[in-house]
Amino acid sequence: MNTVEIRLTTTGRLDEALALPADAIGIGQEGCLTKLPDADTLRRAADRVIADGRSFVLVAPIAWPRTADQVCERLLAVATAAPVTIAVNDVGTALTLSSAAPSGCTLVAGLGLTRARPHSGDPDDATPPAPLLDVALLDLLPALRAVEVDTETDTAGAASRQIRQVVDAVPVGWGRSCPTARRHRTGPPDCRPLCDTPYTISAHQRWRLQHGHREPLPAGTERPTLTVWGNAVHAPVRTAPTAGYRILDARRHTPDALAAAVTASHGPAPVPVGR
Amino acid sequence: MPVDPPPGQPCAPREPAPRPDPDRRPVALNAPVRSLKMLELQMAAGANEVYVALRPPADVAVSFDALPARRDDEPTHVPSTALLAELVTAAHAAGLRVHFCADAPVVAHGHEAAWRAHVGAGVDAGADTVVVGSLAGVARLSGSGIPLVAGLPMGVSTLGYAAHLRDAYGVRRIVVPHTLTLGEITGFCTLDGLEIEVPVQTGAGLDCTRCRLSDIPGVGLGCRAGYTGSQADEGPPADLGGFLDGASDCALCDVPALIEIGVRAMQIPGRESPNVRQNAKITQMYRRAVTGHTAGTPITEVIAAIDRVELMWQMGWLPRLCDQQRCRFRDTPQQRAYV
Repeated sequence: MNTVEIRLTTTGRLDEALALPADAIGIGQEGCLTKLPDADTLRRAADRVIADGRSFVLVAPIAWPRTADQVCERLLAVATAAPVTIAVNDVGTALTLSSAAPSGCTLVAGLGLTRARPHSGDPDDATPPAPLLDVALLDLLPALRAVEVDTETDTAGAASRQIRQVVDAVPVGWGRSCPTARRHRTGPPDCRPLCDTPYTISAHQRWRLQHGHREPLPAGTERPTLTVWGNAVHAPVRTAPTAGYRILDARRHTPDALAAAVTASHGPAPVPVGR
Repeated sequence: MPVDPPPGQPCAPREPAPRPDPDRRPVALNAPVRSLKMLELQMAAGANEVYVALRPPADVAVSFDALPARRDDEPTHVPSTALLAELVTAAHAAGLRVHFCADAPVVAHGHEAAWRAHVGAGVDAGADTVVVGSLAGVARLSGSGIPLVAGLPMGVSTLGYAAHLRDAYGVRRIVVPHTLTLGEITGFCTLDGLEIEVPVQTGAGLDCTRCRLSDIPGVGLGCRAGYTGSQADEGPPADLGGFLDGASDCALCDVPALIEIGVRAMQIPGRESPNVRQNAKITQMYRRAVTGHTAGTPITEVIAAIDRVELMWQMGWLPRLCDQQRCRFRDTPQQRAYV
């Protein structure tokens, strides 16, 4: 049986998640501190989840200079009150929590830390090589005991760490300048409700260095279709999950579909990873 | 809600306008180079540092720096070690510092030896520093005696990370992310023992460190592409233009502020530039702003002088940057949407 985590962005669907047979419930997202509930709300949620016999995962937003202190303060306010897992998404937060997190806190490398992808060295083909896990980075951050990845990331070399796969989408970018807020001519904190509803977008023009204009895509080009939740840009999943720990993004499911996905994700025993 | 800056005009000067500090170390302009012609143009334009990258070995399918071998069909690398040595020698003869880019965001385990050899080629050619793109890369070279620059792909987005690079690995310069406010950069400049380099004249709005939208076949840079689409309750798909493009490129009006907060270098983009003369022109504009500030000339007067004589300013810069409010450090819709 796989371990299944339901990932929520806020506590809005916590009752629904607690009614489902998930092993863990996570709250938060990688992109934005504004969306993360306050420490009291998170503490109450953690208490409920843990009292129900589940694991509680707190997702740390990527820290920027003006948010770094707030991010760590909020995470530690929860972690000192309950034995939680924190998915860390930037090196600065990882360094701080590696020394400051209480002993009952488990640290995991979040998707913001596992985005590494080399560029092509082939002058005739700029298509990027497959994304891979920066195992050497993880070796420098030994407090991070597990890693979250999408289904496209090559996890070779990470056999010593538990692999947790997000199965619903492949994050391909986060905006410091949030596209959703920008579209609505606003910004944090007023933009908080706007990212509950995604944009579905499809590329129809390309921008070229040679002239700096956008021009129609060449005939036959596959048009990337993306989903944008707030400042997070997601691509569709193309690869089946293989890890024994699976994370379901509740935003992408109606209540009925989420219940079905939890059941389906428990599935059979996992195939060994490390391809 | 703040009022947008008026379109069609250069940015207003900050009040009070920063005055030059005569004791401040001069700021460097760090410009891209991939050929002798490009070096010649950048030197003439006023660059006093250059950064270069070398084509990876033919049997390695990945680039060992922060760009692919070609972007939008333009080359990004110096094609040979012989030319690299020639470039470094010429740059040094002109008094320029040379940074060798080995700033791949990740080096696969199987490529580690080749990456180290690649770094060695840059050092053997005489480069003054090596720009690294990952914490693992910094750790690999720490203690080697090679002066290290933490490059843009590292995404050094917190002061704690910057201090760690300095204290644990001896890094002495950090290139900060595109998407920082002036106030945030000021914080980095207060860290003792670190030079802060700021990329100017380019940006993304997206967090480049974690982006997988570059070099999409047929599309190129996904952050700059045009999109159609809608929010679920907005109705049928509409033309959203550059929906993901939150770039705030131009920092020219804020060159005096950058100098006075203690920025050590400004990085001009363009190893992949399709027009090396235009690329050098950007360096020239920033040189005029630096020189003007050092001489006590207000930036508005510097820009007015540029406006009188520079066709590129009138035809390219004003309509594409000023009119579009693509101001790096000003109160614009792009910056108001910073998370």
